[in-house]
Amino acid sequence: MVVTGAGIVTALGTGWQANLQGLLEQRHGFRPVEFFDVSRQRAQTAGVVTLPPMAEFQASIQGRLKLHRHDRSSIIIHQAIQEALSMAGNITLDGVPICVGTSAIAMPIGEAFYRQCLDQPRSMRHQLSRVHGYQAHNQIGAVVRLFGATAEMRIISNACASGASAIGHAFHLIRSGKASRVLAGGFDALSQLVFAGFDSLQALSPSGIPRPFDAHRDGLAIGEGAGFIVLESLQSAQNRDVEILAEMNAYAAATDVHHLTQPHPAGCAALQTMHAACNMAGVEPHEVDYINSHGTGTPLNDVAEANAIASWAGDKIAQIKVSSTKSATGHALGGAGSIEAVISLLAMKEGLIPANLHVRTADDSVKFDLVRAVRRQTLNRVLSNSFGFGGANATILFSKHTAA
Amino acid sequence: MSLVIKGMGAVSPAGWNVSLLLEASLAGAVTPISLLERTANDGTIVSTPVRRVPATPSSPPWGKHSRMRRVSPISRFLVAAALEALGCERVQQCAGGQLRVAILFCTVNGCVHYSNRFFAEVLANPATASPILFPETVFNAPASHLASFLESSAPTDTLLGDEAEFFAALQISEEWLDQDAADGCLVVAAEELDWASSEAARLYHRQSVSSEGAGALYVEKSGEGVIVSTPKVIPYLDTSDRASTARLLLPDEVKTDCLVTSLRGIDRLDAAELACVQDVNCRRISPRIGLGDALSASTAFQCIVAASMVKNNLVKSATAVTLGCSEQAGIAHFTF
Repeated sequence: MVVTGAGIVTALGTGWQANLQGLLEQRHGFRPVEFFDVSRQRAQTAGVVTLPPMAEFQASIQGRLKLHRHDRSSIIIHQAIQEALSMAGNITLDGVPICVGTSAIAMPIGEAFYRQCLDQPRSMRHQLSRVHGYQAHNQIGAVVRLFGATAEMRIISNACASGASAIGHAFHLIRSGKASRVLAGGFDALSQLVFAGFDSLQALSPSGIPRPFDAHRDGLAIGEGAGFIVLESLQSAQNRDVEILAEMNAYAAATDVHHLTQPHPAGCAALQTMHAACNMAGVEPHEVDYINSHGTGTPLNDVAEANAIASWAGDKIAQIKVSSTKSATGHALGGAGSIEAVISLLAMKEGLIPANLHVRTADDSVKFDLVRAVRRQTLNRVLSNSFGFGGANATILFSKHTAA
Repeated sequence: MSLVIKGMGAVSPAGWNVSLLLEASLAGAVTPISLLERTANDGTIVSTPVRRVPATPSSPPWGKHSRMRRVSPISRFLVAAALEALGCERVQQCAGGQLRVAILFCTVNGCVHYSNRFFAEVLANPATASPILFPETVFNAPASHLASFLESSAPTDTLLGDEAEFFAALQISEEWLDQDAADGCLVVAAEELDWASSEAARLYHRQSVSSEGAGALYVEKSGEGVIVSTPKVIPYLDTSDRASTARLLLPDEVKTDCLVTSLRGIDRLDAAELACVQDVNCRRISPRIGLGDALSASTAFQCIVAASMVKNNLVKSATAVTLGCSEQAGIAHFTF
């Protein structure tokens, strides 16, 4: 099966070109958080998406989104889906199943409902709209209906692996012949509850700068954004004579039962998914040109992933090129897996390996080729890892499309 | 294409097993209402009627498992229902690596209890908000605890949607079993009560009474057991006409001995569903009327009641149908 469209919104910018430019310039998108109070938090910055003004956004879209029912994530979703559908040949979503991953859904809407319950318990003003808009299927449903959606929608909430899991569901829908085309992706926007949550765990880097795979890394930086792809059968794409971005060769999922918030130190489940994905695709580790790692910048995650990659690659480890683009975008949680899937496609299409920024001294666990500065290189196969709270692990494998 | 039910489990306001759920549903029993109270910032006391699950058994099925020490009710309900569905032997096989059990967990509200507590702490002082609470607010925490209990590395997905999502989960379990992703699949739905979600439900209708619990079906591809055939969901194109979507699922000529519906006993909320089911000439059971509305879990209860009636030879066939609030309608047929 093949990918024919991709859309991306991150702190680096909105759209393929903006993100390509950001990656080439080795920029990051960490800025002060200004739309909720972070003054009493250890960390006060995040990978913040620059959004258009609401009125401008409303004027730019076809149809109407009742914006009082929505938070910033709806705009982010809309922009990413619009780009993906446009790239795929300006298709609509009529009859196209939709698989979406999210961890935080429309959390700011829920927060507003909660505040009003406490502050104005007798006032029901806007409360029903908030209850409606907070629910993931209503939030996403309102956006995708603007693009003509009529078919089933699957919303997967596997914490930080949600976006990758959603792409996995799409992969299997097409592989089984149940669908010929699926829109898949994930998103999350910043919210006070989630920001404070990661801060309470002391998982956020106090400096606001994540350093994945650095020996002295001190935490992640939360980000926000969305990534969506149009996945379809080769036959469907050829029938439409549309440009093919890449082939999707494999998806694998496994569960790490070690701890609710900590991976097994050996990265057992990650190892399982990397092996399973490569077995499905018939690919050996040395044939993978680049791994877009989960690489959060937390002490435990990065060691576990590095150990898993080392076990997976065996004696080929030194030639395995790895970077974490969360060092530039921040960790978009439920959107991360799909954003990084789009970045993997972008890397392959544009012939570059994005940099793992901010590393001063690589961690001892790093035996692979940690790509610290952007490299121009032809990539034929790219693997993307995603792991989440609760032990959700997922690996996606893309390859360059070669016309038969 | 069909699934075979190898086990069922339920935690509902009727009690902590399937027998109590079935008994209450067949009798049309109405479980007691209690009040959830909270104090607003201006001192106003807000009370919301709910139907609660009875107190946790003195010897809970999860024993002293370390993951279960600090979890909120949704995880307890989910694990208890799943363990009842699997049975001791399969739990041991799973932990021993002889049985691969995948998990599909669906929920509407998720972990609202700890989300509520954690956000209250954040508003009071985010610098001292509890790091123990936050991980339990994540939608997939209950499924993660269950996977940990079972020591299962098979796929574990958490699905969000409206009340009918349980049928979508049954569909996905078919896909997973076809892919050989696991030997069997636990399809579980769970919800827990808290004041925010209970008050939210009453915004849709003042007579709505929220409840809580979990329902689980353990399914495999073949073997002996009640068969679930053609689980299906159809999304609404327009939520103002849910009846026309439901009619696609439930044509006039539907043949079933019993229809287990999602009727709530509230005319305005039930109108669309009543328009579809009133002409179906068979016995009708509506667990939500007596047990309250536990959203996704109530749909699981419907499926469990339907399957249990077939299993216990009360009927030859039964059908569960749910008109979700705002996303989709779903259906599944149960026979031997």
